Amino acid sequence: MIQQLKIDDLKGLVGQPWLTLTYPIEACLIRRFVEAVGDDTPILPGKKAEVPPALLLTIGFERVISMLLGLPEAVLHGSTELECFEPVRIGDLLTVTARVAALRERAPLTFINLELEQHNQKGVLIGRCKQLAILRGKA
Amino acid sequence: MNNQSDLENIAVGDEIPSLEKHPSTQQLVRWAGVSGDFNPIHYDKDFAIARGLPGVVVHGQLSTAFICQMLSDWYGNEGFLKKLNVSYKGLNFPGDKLICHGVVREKIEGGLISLDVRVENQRGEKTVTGTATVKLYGGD
Repeated sequence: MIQQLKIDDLKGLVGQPWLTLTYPIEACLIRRFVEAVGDDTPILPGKKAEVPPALLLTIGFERVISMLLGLPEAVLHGSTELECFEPVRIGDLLTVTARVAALRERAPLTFINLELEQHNQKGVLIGRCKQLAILRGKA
Repeated sequence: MNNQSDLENIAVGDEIPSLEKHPSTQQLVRWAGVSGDFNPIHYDKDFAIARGLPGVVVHGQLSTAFICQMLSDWYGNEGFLKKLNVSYKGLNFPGDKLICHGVVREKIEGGLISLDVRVENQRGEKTVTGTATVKLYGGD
């Protein structure tokens, strides 16, 4: 069940831990991911068998965007910043922490800076993804 | 990308191989399924129009994934994406011809290569622009 939010709820979350989620990185997830991207040569047969770095764009973000989509405002995407610190491999278990880093309003728009950090099963920070979501109120 | 000599041969201003993509509505549904981004502006034309858009639009993150694919096609087994920073400047639509481009902007000590990246549509509009940093193995 996805919690329904209001913008005032998000204001209260700024700077606070918001969500903690876990994601097993399974082969079927990677297969579906690369099919969705249309990548014919995704997992390289070399030394590391790393999963595509773009996967980190989605890990954890699906829950965040689901919650934002419960708002009456239209949700648009302003920017994405992805930092990868360590490769992700099939079999890893990622724990994602999401927080609202900042929120500012400039009617009819609301700008929400989201930050998601992904750690692997060893507790190693493997990625950080910052997203700018723009909420546009009904004209 | 094969080895150290490739790294040495990379020059500022070099363009890496571009990647052409043709997103379809089916691809948007697939991306929604795997990414969890079920924003109706990506699959419900009436909803998108009611929100002031010309029609269903391509997920920004899918365009970013295209850029990541272009980069990994380039560095292959010999590198690792360290950082990617993109802004969504315009809308992409199903049926568009999108071409991802990357141009080397800086070579940094330790095998790091900084690139300007962008997605351009068939009208020549730069709909996604940004920068990427790739670590090439063998550059330490």
